[in-house]
Amino acid sequence: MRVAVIGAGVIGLSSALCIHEQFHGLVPSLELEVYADRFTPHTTSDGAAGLWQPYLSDHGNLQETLWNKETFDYLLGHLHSPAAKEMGLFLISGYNLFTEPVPDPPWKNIVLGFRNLTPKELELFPGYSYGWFNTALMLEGRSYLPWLTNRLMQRGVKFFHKKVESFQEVSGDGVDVVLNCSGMRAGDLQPDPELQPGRGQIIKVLAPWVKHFIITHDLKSGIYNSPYVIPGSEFTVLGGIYQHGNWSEENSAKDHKFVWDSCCRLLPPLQKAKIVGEWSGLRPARPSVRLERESIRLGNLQAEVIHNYGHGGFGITIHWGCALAAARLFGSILQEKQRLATPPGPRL
Amino acid sequence: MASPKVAVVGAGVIGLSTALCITETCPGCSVTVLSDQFSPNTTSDVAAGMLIPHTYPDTPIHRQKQWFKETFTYLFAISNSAEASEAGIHLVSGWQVFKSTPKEELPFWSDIVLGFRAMSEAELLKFPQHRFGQAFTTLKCDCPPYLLWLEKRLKAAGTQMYTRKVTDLWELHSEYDIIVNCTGMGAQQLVGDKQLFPVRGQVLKVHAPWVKQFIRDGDGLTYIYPGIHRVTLGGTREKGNWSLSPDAGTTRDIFDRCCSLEPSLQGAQDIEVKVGLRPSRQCVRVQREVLSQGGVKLPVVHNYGHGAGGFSMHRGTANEAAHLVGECISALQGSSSTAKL
Repeated sequence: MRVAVIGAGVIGLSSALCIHEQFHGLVPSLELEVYADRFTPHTTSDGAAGLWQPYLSDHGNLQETLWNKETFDYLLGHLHSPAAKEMGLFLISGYNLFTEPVPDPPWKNIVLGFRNLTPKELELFPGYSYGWFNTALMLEGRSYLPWLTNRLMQRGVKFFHKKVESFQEVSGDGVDVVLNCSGMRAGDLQPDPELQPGRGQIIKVLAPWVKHFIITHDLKSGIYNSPYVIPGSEFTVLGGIYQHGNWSEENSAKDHKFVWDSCCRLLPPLQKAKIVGEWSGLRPARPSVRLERESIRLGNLQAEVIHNYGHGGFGITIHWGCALAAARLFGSILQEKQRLATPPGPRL
Repeated sequence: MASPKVAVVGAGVIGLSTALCITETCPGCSVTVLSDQFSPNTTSDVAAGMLIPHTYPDTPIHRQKQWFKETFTYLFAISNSAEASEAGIHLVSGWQVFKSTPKEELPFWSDIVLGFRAMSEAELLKFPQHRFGQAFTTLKCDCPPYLLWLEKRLKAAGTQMYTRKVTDLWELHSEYDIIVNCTGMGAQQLVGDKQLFPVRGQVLKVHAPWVKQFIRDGDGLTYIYPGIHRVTLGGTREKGNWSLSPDAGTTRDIFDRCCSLEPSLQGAQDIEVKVGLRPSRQCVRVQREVLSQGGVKLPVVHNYGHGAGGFSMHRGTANEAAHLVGECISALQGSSSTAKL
């Protein structure tokens, strides 16, 4: 049984791993192939800072909150394993800042130690009058994607460097299932007007004295349009850009100035930080994640496609919950093809 | 008296911060720092520099709280300024965990650090051997940067600094009007203080930049303190042990204890071992004294014996010592005007 995975970002690689882990024992003929035009360190996932944090509200989409929780719990379970360092996984605490009181987020009980900020803490952040403190996780794409790749290669999964132009291209020749994890470019495979870029630009600096993440929020401008500082294991990410509909992956001087000035205002010690890089990427934004099956007729053949894209600025945050859901969809496909008498594992 | 000449003996965190306070409160003074060691070779350079106080049995709690509060407030302001990275001062959050619930669940400093609260059940899951914990955010002074920053501020204020081993305070009486004794462990010999004793601490300084949070066992023996470039892993508290040589068995033991609190430390690199002798005393000696020899008087202000709490209390005790220096100056000026009559 051949499965073609399109996309090698965090979604493609983790879905591939999840499916292989769950089914290779039950389906000995299972062969996975990953096709992508970009591999780590050139994917969107590599540019993200890697902080686990969903948006402020799930807009009633409880499914996504559940997937976020599954991801957090899964990662927390790996925190003490010897693999944690190689995965780029570690605990981190920090601040979310607001100019007015806001309702608690749906993830308040998922993270550790969630609480409101005290007046003394708010003194650190003039201009902000309300906020949260909590402990969350970092999962750095630059480490996690190579780790996933190694796990997949050990399992005999093959990788092909290729820009896939259509489902047909991969679905012929005995491929039974296509896993569409093409992120921003899903629209090239099948038009989806709901999928739009949420362009971001970040500055990478050396500021090893910063030990907390600081995310500010401007409820009028929307998510990620307000400065944020996220310390990683090798450098600190400064950001604060979210431009809906902007497809440019070029760094903009104007955006650089906004990010630099606003982050230095937020955290004056950053004035002494050394800039070591800059990057722009496109968050694959969608009103909700597209995670569903579709039967596609291609000539005489019928291919089963599992779509798993549109994770916006929370791909790392939600990835494992989505991988598990994709695996369940895969299981139901197998059931229908009568390769399996009963579906594997407990259903969530 | 024209310009009182003050000698501060000792150039660890106590000596340098006391000298700086004196330049701030007595701008007319000429201040000189004398020490056999300067950064990076002081006891302070070995310490992690965490602002988590040590409780002195014989110092009134309100005084300790005042010292800590002044220190915390002073450093808090620097930590949020453009000077923070040069001064080596930064905020760090984390956990203090206990194998059994401590008698005192709210330490005297709980309302001075930020966000102090009991750990949740979910947080304690990370520490299966521990049953109770406290979460808070505090400050850390990285050395050498902090000491070098103090030295820079002192030079800007016109303070001279000399490498010199002082074996007797009376050596200085002809050159200086007031002596400030910040010699830490050296006070045992210098002023014959038998109440002062070393508590040996061995630490490892490692490269583990993914460790962003501190973890401390409430017994004070095992701790993980992330600094700017290195994480300090500790430690030991060996009362009466004067040895400054690292012990290999102790290194292994510290590493194992820290890895059991934070397993990812197994991946730590570039392990450097250091040893310091905490200059310990039942109470910190911040006190004025007038030494007398053959009709000659020598005003001395003592500021030593901070043990495990040097960084936590440094600015507060430095302020108090500077105030005492002010009193010495008034006394000298009073007596010199009397002498003129």
